[in-house]
Order: sequence, then structure tokens, then C-alpha cells
Amino acid sequence: MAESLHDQPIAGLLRERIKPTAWLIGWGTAGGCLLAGLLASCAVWSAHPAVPVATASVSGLLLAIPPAVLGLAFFFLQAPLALVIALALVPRLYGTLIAILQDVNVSPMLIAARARGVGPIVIGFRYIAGAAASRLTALLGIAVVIAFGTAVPVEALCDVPGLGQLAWHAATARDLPLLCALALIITSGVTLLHAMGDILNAGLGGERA
Amino acid sequence: MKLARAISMLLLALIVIVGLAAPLFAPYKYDQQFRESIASPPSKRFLIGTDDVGRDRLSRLIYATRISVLLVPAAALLSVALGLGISLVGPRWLISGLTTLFLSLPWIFAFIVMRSELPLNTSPAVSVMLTFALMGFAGWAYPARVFSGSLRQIEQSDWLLCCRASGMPFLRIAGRCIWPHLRSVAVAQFRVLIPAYILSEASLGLLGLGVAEPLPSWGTMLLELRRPDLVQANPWLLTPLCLLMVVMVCLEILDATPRKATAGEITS
Repeated sequence: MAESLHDQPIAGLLRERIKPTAWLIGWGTAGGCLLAGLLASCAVWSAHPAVPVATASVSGLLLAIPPAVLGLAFFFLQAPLALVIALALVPRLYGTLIAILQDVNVSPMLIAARARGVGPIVIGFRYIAGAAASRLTALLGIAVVIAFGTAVPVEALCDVPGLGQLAWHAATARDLPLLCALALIITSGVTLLHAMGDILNAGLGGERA
Repeated sequence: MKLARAISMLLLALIVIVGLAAPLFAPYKYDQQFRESIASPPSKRFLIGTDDVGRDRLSRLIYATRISVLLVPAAALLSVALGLGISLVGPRWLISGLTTLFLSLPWIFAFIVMRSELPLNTSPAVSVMLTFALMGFAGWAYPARVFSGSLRQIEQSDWLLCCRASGMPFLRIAGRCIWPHLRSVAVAQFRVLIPAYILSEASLGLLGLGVAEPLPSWGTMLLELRRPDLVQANPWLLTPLCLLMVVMVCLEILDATPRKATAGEITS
């Protein structure tokens, strides 16, 4: 790889910075998927009519707060920044997860399993996750892209020495070689992730929605 | 839900009217400085105080609303128009490749790359136009993908075959036959992009890559939140954030109602 405008090898810069970003995105995406999944499950399977309204309100409220502001608030409260990524992901995944769960919920396979008295854990892991695996993998790819998009302002504002902060510094310093290298790396990474998802889906025998 | 929708519409209408008629509602000009009242707290003269250089925050917020009210929909319209245009005329393989490429790159990152290439000596007015134009340009891929999907379905329809067989020219087919089918998709895309662009502008403003001073925008108004000591001592600095959140919640409520109705139509 070439050198940045400040005569620093780009490969070295990326190597230094990739760990905090990977940590932030990894934990953030995991937390976001878990929280959004919990909210969506409550909304779909709760018997009380107030629960879907409450979960939609939580999701709507989280969508209304700019992730950068949320990042600043967490930074000053010294709370884990991965939670910012998770909270920013929740409203963006919630709607799609509800649609997926509602589709699976009315599938004859799941109704038959329930009628046979299969336990909720087996239903969750085997039937629901199995039936929606291809769509969930696609959603995971999107979640990673959103997580990185959120990580850029969070890292820049909260002084996290990751790729997002590097991109911001490169943009303000007009360091085009570094920006191009970053764009290339990120696009390749996300495309690789999507390809892995496709391969996984093919292995599972699922169809991409 | 009807009440929430009505309140949201009323609030949004009020905000849009105040924003559009900013010179009527704002007590002062957005760049007018009051050097004797620098960083002053709220008073009868300055309802939410003044900033570090003595500008009335309320006036700046009203002018910032005007910029967002005018330019965010314009950027969304540009994205939808670009997405529609490209998906109508471009070859399928190229659109598919380009949208995959653009969607693989986080939107804000694509914007930062483009923004960094802008000349440094642009005037604030040009900078604000360029910022929103770039926002519109960078966000074309998502609508294009949705339009491509819809066009693929339309291409297999019998009525389109009939139009072609009757010798209608391409522009007439596009305007008279295809557009009525794509109109609802375009409106939906436009509505999805507006809150996304409001949030993006806020994030860019906080990063210092948005609208240039002295022009105010919701993003640049949030810049003061970067100083926690100041926010703690002056909680009225949170007013722009509150306004932004109110707008976002209203848009979410307005967006959720037709979505529910559509879902009902499909399932029933």
C-alpha cells in the first residue's frame, strides 16, 4: 500500500487502528442485534397490546437521537461506547426483525412444532433461527455497514483511535491516498462479509430474501 | 394513533412555517452580534441566550430550521430523482454493481470522502448548497436499488409489452405507463430519506464537516454539546437537540401510520 500525505505507510496506520474499530463494531453489532431481537420478540409474542406500542416507542425514541450526540453523552458519562453503536442499531434493525419474526410466526412448520409441544428454546434456535437464517445473515451484513457508519462520528468525537477517527482526520487533512485506501478496505471487508453470508446461506440451503 | 398523527402534523407544520418565514419570526439576523451580551443566559431579550460570539441562539435556531426545512427535502428529492433516472436508463448489470458498491460503503464515509475534495475557499452559501447536494448525490444507491426491483417486476408485465408493441416512444412509456406505478415507491423513498438526512446533517455538523459558519444549521447548532461543562451549566443549550428530536419523533409517527395501513392491506 502507498503512503499517506504525511509520509506514513498506510498499511501501518490501518494495522494500528483496526483493533479499536473492530472491538467497537463487533460488540456494538452483537449488542444491537440482541437488543433489537429482544424488542422485536416482545412485540411479536407478547399477549398484552401495550407491549408493541411500548417497544415501537423505544425504537422511535432511539431513532430520534443522533448517534453522535448519544456518543458524546456516553463519553462524558464514561459508559461503554459499544453501547452507542448497539443503541443506534436497534431502531434500524427493529422494523426488519419484526417483519421476519411475523413471517416465521405464521409458518405452518412453527405452528406444527408448537402443537407437538416443542419447548420454547428449541423453537427459538431450531425453528425460528433456522427458518429465518438467510434473512438474518443478510440483516447482519447491513448491520455491520450501519455500525461502521455510526462508528465514524463516535470515534471522531469520543477520541477513540480507530478507523473512523482516521477517516475523519484524513478528511480534514484532505489526505486522498489514505481516504481511498480506507474506502477500498471497508468496501472489500463488507463485500467479503456479504459473500460469506451468501456461502453460509448456500450451505444452510436457505434462500436469500 | 390518530391523535398522535394529528399532533405530529400540526407540530411539523408549525416548525416548517416558522422555518420558511424565518425573517418574520426571528428577533434578529442569524449573524448579528451583540458584543455586550456574549454567552449570556436566557433573558427577555434573548430567549435561549447568546453564543460565544454574542449571537442570539433563538434567531440562529429559526434560521437553521429554514435551512433544514428547505434543503433536506431538496437533497432527498435529488437522491430519489438520481436513483430513478439511473435505474431507468442504466444497464442492469452496471446498476446492480454500482448500488452494491455504494451500499457496501457506509454512507457517511462516502460523504466524508467527497466533502474532503471540496475547495477550502468556498463561501458559506455555496458550502451549504454543496453539502446538501453531496448528501443527495451520495444517497442515490438505496432508492436506485428499490426502483430497480420495481422496474424488474414492471418489465415482466403484459401491459408494458402491449405499450411497446403499439409503438409508443420510450419517454411516453416512462411518463404515462411506468411513472404511475413507481410514484408510490418514489414517495416512500422520499419519506425514508428525510429523517436519515436530518440525522446525517446533525452528525456532520458535530464533526465540523457540515454547513460552514456563520450560516446556522441543526448540526452546527449541536456543536456546543461537545462541551459538557457548558451544557451542564447552561441546559438551554439542549434546545436545538430537543427540536431535532421532536421533528424526528413526529416524522416517525407520520411514517409509522401509513406503514401499518399498508401492512394491513397486504395481510388482509
